[in-house]
Amino acid sequence: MTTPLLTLDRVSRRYDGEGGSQLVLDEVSFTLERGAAVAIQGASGAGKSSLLNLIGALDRPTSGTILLDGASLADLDDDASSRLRAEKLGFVFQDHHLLPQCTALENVLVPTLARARSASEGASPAAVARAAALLERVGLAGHAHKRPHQLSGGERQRVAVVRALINQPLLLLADEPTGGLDRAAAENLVDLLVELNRETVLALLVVTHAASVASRLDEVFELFDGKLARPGG
Amino acid sequence: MSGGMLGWRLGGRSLVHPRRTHLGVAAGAAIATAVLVGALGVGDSLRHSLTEGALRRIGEVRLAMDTGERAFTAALADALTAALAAPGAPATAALHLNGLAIADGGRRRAPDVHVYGVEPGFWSAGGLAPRALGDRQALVNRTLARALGVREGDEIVLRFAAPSALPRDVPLGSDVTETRTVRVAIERVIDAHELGDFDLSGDPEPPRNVFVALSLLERGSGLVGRRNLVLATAPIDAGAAGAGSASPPIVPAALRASWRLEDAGARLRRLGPDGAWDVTSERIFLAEPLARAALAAAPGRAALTYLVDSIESASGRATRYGMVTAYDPIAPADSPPAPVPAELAPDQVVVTRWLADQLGVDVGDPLTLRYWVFGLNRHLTRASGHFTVAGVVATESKGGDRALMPEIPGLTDVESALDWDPAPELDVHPERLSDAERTYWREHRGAPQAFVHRSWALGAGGWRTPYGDVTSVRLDGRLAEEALRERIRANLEPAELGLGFQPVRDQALRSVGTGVASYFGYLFASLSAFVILAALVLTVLLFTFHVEQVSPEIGTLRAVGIPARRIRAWLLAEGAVVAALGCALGIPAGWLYVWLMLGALAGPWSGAVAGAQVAFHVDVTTPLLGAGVVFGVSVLGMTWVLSRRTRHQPHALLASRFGVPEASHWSRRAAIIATVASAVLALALASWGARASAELATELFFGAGACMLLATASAAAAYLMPAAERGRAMVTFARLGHLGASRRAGRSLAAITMLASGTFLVISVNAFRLGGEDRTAAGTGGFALFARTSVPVAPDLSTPDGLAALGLERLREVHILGLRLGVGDEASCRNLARPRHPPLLGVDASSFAARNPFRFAGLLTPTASPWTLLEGSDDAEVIPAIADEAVAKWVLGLGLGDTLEYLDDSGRPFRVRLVGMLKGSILQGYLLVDARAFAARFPSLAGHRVFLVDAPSGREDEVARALAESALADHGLTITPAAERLASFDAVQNTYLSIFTAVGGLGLVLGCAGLGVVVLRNVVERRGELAAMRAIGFSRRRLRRLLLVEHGLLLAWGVGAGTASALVAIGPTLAERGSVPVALLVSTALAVIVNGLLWTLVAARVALAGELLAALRHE
Ligand SMILES: Nc1ncnc2c1ncn2[C@@H]1O[C@H](COP(=O)(O)OP(=O)(O)OP(=O)(O)O)[C@@H](O)[C@H]1O
Ligand SMILES: [Mg+2]
Repeated sequence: MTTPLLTLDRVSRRYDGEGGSQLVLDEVSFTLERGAAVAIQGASGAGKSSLLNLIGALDRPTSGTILLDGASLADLDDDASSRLRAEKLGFVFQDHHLLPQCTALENVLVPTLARARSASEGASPAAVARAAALLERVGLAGHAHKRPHQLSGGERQRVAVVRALINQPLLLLADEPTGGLDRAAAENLVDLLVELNRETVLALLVVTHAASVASRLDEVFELFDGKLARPGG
Repeated sequence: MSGGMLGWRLGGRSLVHPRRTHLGVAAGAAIATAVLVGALGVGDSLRHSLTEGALRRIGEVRLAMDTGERAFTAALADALTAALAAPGAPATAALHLNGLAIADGGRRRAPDVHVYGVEPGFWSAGGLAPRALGDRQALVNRTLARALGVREGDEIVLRFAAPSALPRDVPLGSDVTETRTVRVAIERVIDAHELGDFDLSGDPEPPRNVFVALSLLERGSGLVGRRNLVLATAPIDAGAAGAGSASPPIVPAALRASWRLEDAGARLRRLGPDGAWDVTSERIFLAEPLARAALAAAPGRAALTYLVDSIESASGRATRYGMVTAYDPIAPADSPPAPVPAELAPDQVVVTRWLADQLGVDVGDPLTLRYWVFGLNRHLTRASGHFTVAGVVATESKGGDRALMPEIPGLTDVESALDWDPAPELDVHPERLSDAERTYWREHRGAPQAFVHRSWALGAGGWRTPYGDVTSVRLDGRLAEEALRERIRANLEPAELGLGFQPVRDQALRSVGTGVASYFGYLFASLSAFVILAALVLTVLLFTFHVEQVSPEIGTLRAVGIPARRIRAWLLAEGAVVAALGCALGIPAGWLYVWLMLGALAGPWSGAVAGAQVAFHVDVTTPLLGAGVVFGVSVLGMTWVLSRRTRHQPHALLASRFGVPEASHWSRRAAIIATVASAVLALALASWGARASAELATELFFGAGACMLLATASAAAAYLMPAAERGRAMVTFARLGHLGASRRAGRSLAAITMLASGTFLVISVNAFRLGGEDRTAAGTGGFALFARTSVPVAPDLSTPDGLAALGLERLREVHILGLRLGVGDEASCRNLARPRHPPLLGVDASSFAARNPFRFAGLLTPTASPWTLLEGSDDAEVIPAIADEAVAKWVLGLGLGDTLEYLDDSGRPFRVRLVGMLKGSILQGYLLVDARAFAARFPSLAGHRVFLVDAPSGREDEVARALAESALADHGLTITPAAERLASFDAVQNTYLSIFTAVGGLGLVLGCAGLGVVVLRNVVERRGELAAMRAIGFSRRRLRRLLLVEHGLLLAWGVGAGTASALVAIGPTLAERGSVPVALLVSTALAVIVNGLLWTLVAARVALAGELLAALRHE
């Protein structure tokens, strides 16, 4: 039996601010199998983004351990966690964070450079083909050479999703990926994610408010009062 | 509450509140103000100090008459001082001689000493109490005391040339300049404020002065009853004041009324009880104006009496050492008689009975005159004239009297011909005289033995001298003496005879007011221009950041309906207030800067102000000017930024975090066009420069370099506006860096331009640093020593005879070129005041042409033999001159072909035209003219005072010692190794370069700081984006590298563009040197790169240091 892709063991996150401290995650334990597709729901401010940040090693828990693909995130230095993110994770931010000076296609290809060995080494032809294919899949074939300020909010969102997928990660962490999209576009995007989830090793951890999105995934969790639980459970 | 106020409350305040960028804006303005105020303040201080110094030197004196070697009578001095004095404004007369001071039994000597014989009233001219000096008492100034190492109570000997009645060039009298001495005891050492540095010359170096009682100097110099200096302190009416150096002297009514012929060195006497009037000069030859005036006053004729070596008959009989007088045979009616018939032809001679008897000749017989023609520097050439005897007259007949022979010391003042002591060059041997000749001398003295036609004498005969061609004017004897004197005086302008006043105070003020000192502040400011510019760019850049920072807010405000105009006004008001605060802070910083710079100018940079003592003084207006300029420029820059940054539509402003697009196709194309155009222009200028004259080439190449700079900057602009790479996904790490740099093209371009111009300036200016062996060889003209005497040396040291006359026989293989020195104030780079008239230096053009020393920077008419240009004077009123390039251009403000007006010995104006410019040489400070032209205009300045010594290498010290121990020491000799003299001039220019480099370096540091700000701003602004990149798998190290690549590109562009352009600009200098200043290039480029990388690293570290998440969340 292989190890689970992701294991959270009594993970807590407390923010200390001027107005006192706030316990956002309270001893959350959770396991995600390889290839699973999970939705996380919760009220605004419930701590969904906080949870994704911890899993993506962008933040460290106040207590508890996180194991990703068998390795404890706490033990990784900057280089190692960078490698982990580049090779195993795909990130779709709530604020997409595209590079304004690069075109959509270039933005998609940027993660392939994270491990480039020389300054002149570019994305592999395979990566370029994949990027083009993915962009086409999300309906952006005609927008590949536009820069972010020339794209609509939803288009930017889709570029961010494609960027997260370019390195063929094991786990996609998506924070409201369909936030700015209309129903059709959202469906389309979810179709893509679900398809990739089925066809490849890609596991999904998607934060979403939309029930229509959540329902397409294997499992749904709700974050409430610092605890992660099945809805209604 | 008005709408405006409400708008302000709701909108303005959201934009306008203290931010960190404000600190930067204020700091930039403060630095710019401080440097500008500082630079101008240094200029103020210098000008103020020089003005004070100049006024301290002349005391309260406003008008001065300084006749130098031509003393006038005490009677005239008394009349003038009485007339020019006013209540509380005294006037005084004095004797002023140049010489040397000797102390410690001859062991210590100070040349170039001014000896003033003064009356008690002299001190009143300095605003001091009158002070009587005892007979053997002397006051010395501090400079002289220091030079001699003497104190109160010490005895010193003053040695000076006795003013010579004879032009020193005429080898009639003794050849070694007669010097006289006085022994005095030092009563006190006096300071500048006690008139100790009294000086009318305007020379930058403090003079060496000694003051003694007038009566003592009168006796000591033999000038009893004579004066050569009148000083008046009363204000003169401005109308009378001449402007400029060569303006005619001021002749007050009192001078016009009281001068007498004797004051011009003229004498009037009656020849016998009813004889003719005879006008002669103390100096053998009558000055041309005097002769003219005399002849115009009454019927008369001019005589020129000449010493001939021998007079020979066809049979070979000869007499020796006789006088021959040239007369004009035709004279106005009532002229005194002359022993020549009206029909005398130029090839005819009239002889005396005595001569006819001696030679056995009679009317119709041939006769030959053998004589010497006087050249310059006591050079003599043999010449002869062949005549037919036209008549025989009685010895000492009327008009053939002994009074025709001019008074020549050593000849006319001896009883027996055996005691003659003329110059050795004349080869006169009294012991060889026959008995008859000796008897003639005893009975008839110098009465002429023959008479020739004046036109022959002045033409074929070659009897005309630079000093005149009349030795006596004979006038109708029926006129009464007083009437005759009046008539002659009426025909003369006192100024023509060198009598007249100069407005010395006005001149001193004007010379400080127009010299280097007057614009030193601006010079310094221009040397600092780069720092000022860099600081201003920083100010505007930071203001831009501020505007960018608030552009989403601007977008929001615009979106809710506040007009852009009002938002701009709020932002501009804010920026202006911040800039004003910065400027205000900059003013005290500027004072501090002045203070620091004055410290440097007193120390390592003293060369730039020629060692002048500069005290702190900042004009009231300077800080206002400096701060005003900086404030104005800053506000202009801010207005420009605002007009660009706020014109975007609100939605673009709101979306500005996605990067407002700056590059349009149009601006990219414009940048490319600008690149090509400037490159073509640079090429054109360079190829023109390659063919142009050396003088022009430097400027053309500098222009080409500047165009190159423009081209590279535009190329950078084009590079920073990358065209979208359509169809190709060229995403690489390098391209990511390139894209990053172009993200804010304007900002990146500002950084590049700042770095490029800094590098360009530092390299190109430093390439002009002077020095090196080759340069020394050219600058010294190959001469080893430069020597000067305070007393002219008559013998020509380029001849064996001349050397022998000074006991320097052993220096036969040493080539010594003597030059004539005119009066004037030094015009070298060391003089910070504008010289009124730089001293002329009379050079022997033909011997210079033969040697062809020194290198030329430019010629009016190109020729292979530039020194011959000095000889060709097509116009008697304009004489050609050569000067050092730097002096001509910067100190005098002259270009080739320009002229400068001078006054000759007789107060007549003439012009000197610049026909050639030397590259920096040891002759800096002088205007070189042909010695012949010099002698013709300044007969009183005969003899050599400057010497160029070409000693065999290795023997320089020995030669210097021999010269120093020779009779030249008594002439006040100073010897400087030529290379040392050259270095001291170069020091001025090199100091300017040092200042420039230091200040430019400061600018570069500021430029790098600007780069740092850009980097910091870039990364801070992109923290979110960088964090996102980290989130997608970029490690910190990798991102740091990305930032380095990105900003390294800016650095590389900046340094590369600056270096390349500088290399073009200094092309000619490099070509001349034959080598590239690798060390300079590498060190400058390295300094910039290291500095810039350091800043980038720091900024990158700061930006990437924080918590990833915080950065991600921070939008
Ligand atoms: N760095 C921080 N410092 C302090 N408090 C924080 C920080 N990050 C998040 N919080 C707080 O933690 C809580 C959870 O925030 P989080 O962003 O995880 O919510 P969320 O569930 O993603 O909400 P939404 O659906 O609105 O995106 C919020 O109340 C937020 O204010
Ligand atoms: Mg969230």
